[in-house]
Amino acid sequence: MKKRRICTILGAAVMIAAMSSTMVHAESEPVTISWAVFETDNYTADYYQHIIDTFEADNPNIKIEKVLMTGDSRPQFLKTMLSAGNMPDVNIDPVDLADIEGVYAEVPEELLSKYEDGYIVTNNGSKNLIPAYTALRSQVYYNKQQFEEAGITEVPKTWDEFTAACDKLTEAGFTPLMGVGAADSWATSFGYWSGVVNAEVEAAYPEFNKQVLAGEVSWTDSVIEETLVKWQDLINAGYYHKGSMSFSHPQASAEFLSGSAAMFMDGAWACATIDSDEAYKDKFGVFVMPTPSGASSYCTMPGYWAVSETCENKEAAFTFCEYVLGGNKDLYSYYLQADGVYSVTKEPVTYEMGTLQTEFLENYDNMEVVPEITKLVGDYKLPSGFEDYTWKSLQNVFTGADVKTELEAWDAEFARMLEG
Amino acid sequence: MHSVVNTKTRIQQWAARLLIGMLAVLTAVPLYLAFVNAFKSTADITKSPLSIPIPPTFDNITKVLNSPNVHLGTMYFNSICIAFFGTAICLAVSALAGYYLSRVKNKISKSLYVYFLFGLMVPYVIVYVPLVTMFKGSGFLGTLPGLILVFVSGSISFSVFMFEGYVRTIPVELEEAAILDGAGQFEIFAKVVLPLIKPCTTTVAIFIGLSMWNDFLTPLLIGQKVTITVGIYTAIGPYASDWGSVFAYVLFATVPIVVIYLLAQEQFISGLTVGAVKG
Amino acid sequence: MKKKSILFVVPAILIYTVLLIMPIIGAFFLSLTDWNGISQQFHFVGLKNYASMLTDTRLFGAIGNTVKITLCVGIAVNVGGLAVAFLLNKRGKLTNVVRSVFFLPYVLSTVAISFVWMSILSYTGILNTVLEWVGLSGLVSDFIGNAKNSIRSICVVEIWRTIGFYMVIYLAYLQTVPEELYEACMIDGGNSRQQFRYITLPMIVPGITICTIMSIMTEMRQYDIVKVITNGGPGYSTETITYNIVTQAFGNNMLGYSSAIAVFLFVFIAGISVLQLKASNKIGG
Repeated sequence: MKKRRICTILGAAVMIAAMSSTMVHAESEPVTISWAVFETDNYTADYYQHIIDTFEADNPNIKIEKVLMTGDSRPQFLKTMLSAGNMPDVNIDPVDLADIEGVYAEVPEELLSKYEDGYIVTNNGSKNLIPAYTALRSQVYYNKQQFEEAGITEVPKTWDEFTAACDKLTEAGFTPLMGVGAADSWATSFGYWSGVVNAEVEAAYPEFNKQVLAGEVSWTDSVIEETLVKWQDLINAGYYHKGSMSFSHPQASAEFLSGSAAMFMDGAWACATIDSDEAYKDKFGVFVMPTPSGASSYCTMPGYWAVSETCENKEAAFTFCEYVLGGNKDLYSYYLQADGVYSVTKEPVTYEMGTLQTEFLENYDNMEVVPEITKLVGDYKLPSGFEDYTWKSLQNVFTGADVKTELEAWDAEFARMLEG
Repeated sequence: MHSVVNTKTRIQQWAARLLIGMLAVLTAVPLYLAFVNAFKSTADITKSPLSIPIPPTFDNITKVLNSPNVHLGTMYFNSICIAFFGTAICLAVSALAGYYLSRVKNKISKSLYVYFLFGLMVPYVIVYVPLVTMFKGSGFLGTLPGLILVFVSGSISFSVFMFEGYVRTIPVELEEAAILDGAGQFEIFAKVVLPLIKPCTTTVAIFIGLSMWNDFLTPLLIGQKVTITVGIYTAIGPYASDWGSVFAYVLFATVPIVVIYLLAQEQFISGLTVGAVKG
Repeated sequence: MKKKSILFVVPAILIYTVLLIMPIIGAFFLSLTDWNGISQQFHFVGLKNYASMLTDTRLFGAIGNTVKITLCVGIAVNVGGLAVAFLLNKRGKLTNVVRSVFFLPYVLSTVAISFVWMSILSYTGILNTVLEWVGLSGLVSDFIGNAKNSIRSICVVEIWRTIGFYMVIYLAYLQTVPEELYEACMIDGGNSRQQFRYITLPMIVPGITICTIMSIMTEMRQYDIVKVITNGGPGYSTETITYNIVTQAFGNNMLGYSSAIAVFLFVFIAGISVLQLKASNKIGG
């Protein structure tokens, strides 16, 4: 009798448990993964929708929910989300937060094995980043017609030729350079920093990051100071568009494309924008920005994705990453082509490049590749938040602040961040 | 002599009218621009920003409606929920508290009044970080009710302060009569006091309702609920150079409130004036 | 009269205490730590954060900007609001329409109107286009691209946005002045300036107090317009205190430090409010 009762109770318990588990199961399907992205002229809303639709068609159990990152600093957005306990599951552009412990989940070895070894990095002993692409940085885009009208027959190869070209353009009534300001603080210095300062610094100190982290070089180093003073000379000479500081990045690029200025130091992504638009095709060329000392090198920036530690369905999140980043070759190629970036999978994935992108790539023939100081990942990564700090300071430089004073502040901030 | 004074005052009057008219036109210009330019292409906006769009284009509007980044339904739903329930809850609890504090005069009520007043001096930014930290992981702040209560907490000081002041101006005799009729305290409040404090309720409702509807930082930092303000900020983000759509977004964000305002402008202004003075 | 139930105040106390007072106490607590907002551990550092504020030039800039905006907007909306209210106090055919026009910007979302103003003030924006047309190309300039101009632009937008609100409050107080007083003054041979000085002004002192406090408090926490139009830039040149706190806290992993700034702002505002109340009690009393 007693046994029977126990059996009944047990049986009922099992049934309830089974029912509830199937119910939970039924409810939790499909799982939803939030994906933090940002939109640009290239990365459009439709573009993301295509990726999501393609993925969901093959993985009906996983739903992807797009979260738009706002503001000028993506790390800042992500940190805000993190502080509020609302971190999106899958992050693109996670590098700045990658060395903060407990933010991103360790990536399964099996997934990592699909990417070239050179792109796999360790942060605090954890392999928490998934290689997504590698990107070329910046060159100078120029308006062919305005160059012609100003009588510039060849693109400038030295600093003097560059300033001479600027003078010629001014004489012919054109504005030589487009600049960016407003809410896009990153873009004010981007072209000059990644194209000129980085080359000069890497030429003088091939292991700059290691040395600056060890305190052997400081940000007030004369190479950095002199190169930034040269930048200020361009600004003081009136080469930049007068409205530069009031343009956001999309505004500035729209202004440049419509002919408001003859040159624009902008990222490789602009090739994709120009190549994909019939109205702009063949009207623009691109050349490597000359440096004051003649140092010539270029940098590449590896791009990563990461799955946050707070994600409840990490398996699904990694499935999504794997699918987009090489699992589905067509989609990976689609993903890369939009912004003109290159594959990092062991089996390379390619796409047909446009004219300008080909020109961009060919300009780097026979040039040395160096790391980008502010984007380096792994052991010699600069502290989180430092890059944001430099952007703001470089805006001050653009508006006339004393370079030396600004760089002294960098040293202080850098020391503070390393200490914290 | 008399006529000289008259001409002088008349000239003064006309000058005053002219001045105020010009100021009003200046004030209206940005609003006019926002409205007409939502119906022009970006190229036309740059060329002739002031012109009236004939024929109007609805491209901007459809662009906004078709954008996958815009979930107008959710955005309006969240904003309306916050503004409506936030205001309602805040009015309810503050009216009760204001009534108590104004009718009861003892040490506790005095210190409570000061306690509530304290919140008026708080720059709200001080609250975000600890609030987020305290409720991190509980999921409470991520929910709509959580966010609504956060909004309520931020408006309680002001509302209590207003209600307390207003109830003081109402004679207590009516309530005493109701007591004699055997009504309970809460019944008296609902049947006798509430109708009497209606002007103050209108004032407070307009004031806090507007601030909740338009708030940007709170839904952005706390809860990440996409309200209409956060929604348009996010959606405009990379497309700020496409002024046509920017104006269309602005139109969607402002039209509901403008319609309400135009329908009830008398109540808005007179409501604010009555409550403001007595409170 | 029967004792009132304390239940009347309980809901308000609960919400207010848990969601506002406790976080404020939390902010005091955090301001004494070096917590970065992400790691599990933090240390008590005593008053170190407050000491660091003394050498933080970026913060000084933000305080300077906030004070500039507060002074400029505070004075403009109070003087302007009162003036407009005075002019619109008499009932006329169009007064209601005009009042509505002045008040309308206040009901709109600050973020939305900031975008509208951005399109007006941008270098290739509407204002410069119109200036070119009417032949005033000498006045064409970058209204949001340099620190000096952008602070002014922010003030203009804020004055435009809030003046209608203060106008309404002043109207309310002007309407409390009994007509008879004006008439009595006229009979005694007072001119309109005397009328204003001896009748209107004393009657609206409470209004001035409320409006001044409100404008100071609103401007001390200015954030939305700066966020949309300049994002604090170029550099840090248009940062306000609130903007500084938000970016330091969430962007630079300095929750402890930013809490210290927030506490400082709180004490500052509370101090101003108390002083203001005392001052107006003296004038009014």
